[in-house]
Amino acid sequence: MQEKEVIMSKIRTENLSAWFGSLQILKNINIEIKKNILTAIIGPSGCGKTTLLRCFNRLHELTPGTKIEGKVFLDDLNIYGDNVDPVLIRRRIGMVFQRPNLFFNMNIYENVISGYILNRKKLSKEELDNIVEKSLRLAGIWEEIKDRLRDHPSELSGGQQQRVCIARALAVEPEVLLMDEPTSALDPISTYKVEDTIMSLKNHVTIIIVTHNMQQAARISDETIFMYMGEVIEMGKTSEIFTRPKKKLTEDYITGRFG
Amino acid sequence: MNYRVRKIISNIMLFLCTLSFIIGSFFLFWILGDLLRKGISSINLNLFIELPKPPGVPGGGIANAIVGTFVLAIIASSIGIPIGILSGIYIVEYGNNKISFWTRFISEVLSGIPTIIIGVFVYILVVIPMKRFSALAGGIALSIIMIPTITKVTEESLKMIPNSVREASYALGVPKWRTIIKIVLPSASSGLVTGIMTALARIMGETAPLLFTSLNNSFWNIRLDQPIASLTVQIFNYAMSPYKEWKSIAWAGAFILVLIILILNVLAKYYARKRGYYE
Repeated sequence: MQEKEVIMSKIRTENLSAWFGSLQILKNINIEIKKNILTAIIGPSGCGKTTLLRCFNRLHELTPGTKIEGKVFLDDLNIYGDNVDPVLIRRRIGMVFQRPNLFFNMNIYENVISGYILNRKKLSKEELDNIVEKSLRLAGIWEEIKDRLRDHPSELSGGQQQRVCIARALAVEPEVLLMDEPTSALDPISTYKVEDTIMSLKNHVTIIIVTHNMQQAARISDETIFMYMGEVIEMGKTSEIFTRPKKKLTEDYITGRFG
Repeated sequence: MNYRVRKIISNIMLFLCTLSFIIGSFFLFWILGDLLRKGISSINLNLFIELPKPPGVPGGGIANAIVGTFVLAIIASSIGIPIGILSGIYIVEYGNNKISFWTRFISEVLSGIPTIIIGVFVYILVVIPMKRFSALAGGIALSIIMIPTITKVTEESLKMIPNSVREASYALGVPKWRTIIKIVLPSASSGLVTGIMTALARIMGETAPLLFTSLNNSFWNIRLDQPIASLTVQIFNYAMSPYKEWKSIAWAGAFILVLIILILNVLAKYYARKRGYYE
């Protein structure tokens, strides 16, 4: 216990394995993710990085035919333990998806505070206004859309929608923010803005970002996990992984020899 | 195949499509035109406020039948819409098992059963034990016709909602049932409303099942355990009668019925235009 507090791990897995039907996606994953820094998970398509991310907030199990073994600790709580309500876990861990997925039955304002609306948390108008402004500022989009909060989300561009998605996830003040290739569907300028947003969040919240863009991982992350074929090959400081990889496979991947 | 041949085939196909459209719409407009011509000349205010009169007596209306049609539609909706929507939700959101497969299968079989059979079925199940024809029996028969249609449109509209939207809600820590009520159903509402309107339009035009269930009534009736008049059965009776006055009322009734159904369909189209997810 003492040791864990020193290294401040936020999420830790123990022999985590996951399946889609009979296909094993994750094989015995043992990793630690440190608190309030940005961890990138990289690896070729189909290596299981998204599945790993979706195990952290128990989203993987919602797909029919999936199976999970092993443990995932959020602080000291095994989120796959008996009597753990996945719904309550998900309230502590926010997620941003590959494509913007705002709720189209709500306007932009309601989307940002949807975590409160949908979980029936009653707040005053003033509190809600503050949350909306703060979250949109954190997501770096307040100035752009502050006069359009009552508009339908489809009137925003894809990049703007994605940043509102980030604001929506941040509005409920999660301890951990999971990001599944958040810029893969965006143009370079929107990507740049979203990356900027992510960088500014770095020290407030534990962020885990899955990306197939190695330059992006190198640019923004503190720690990097390299995965291949459902296994973690190497993990450590981003600067070291990208300059002095210990494994041949890592080197081959980051130098673009495969992947 | 070279460009010229493709172009010729394309033109032939376009011609066939246009021809089919013309043939189809020709009959549609013929029917509508006939109804308009013969129906509108018989329409007067008495039709909407008076009860049917015996043959030979001038005047008389079908006010009770117009109200009756709506009463039957309300009974049918209050049974058929909840069951249909809940079945549709079950198939899409909790599917992936045997029960869901059978729910869908049974619903599809049900939608193929001739409505007169459903009428006979309800006659045996409700009318005989109650020992009388009733509005309730009519409503039940129509609701059975409605269920598979509503189930189908619910299924289709819920499938249009991308899964990523459900996941966005789950990821915020929203339970599944609330995700369905607060996100999925409202997002699918335009499709649902469209489907409900279409289903209503369909049951309001049914005659056969009503002959066995609600029968007809020459008087005002709001009691659900009594026979009730409906536009379709009234049209059937009047059109079959040898009396000239009744025949002209039948035309007027047919015109009113088609107008109601047309309005429902136009409303359905209007709701279908509402904004949805593009993916």
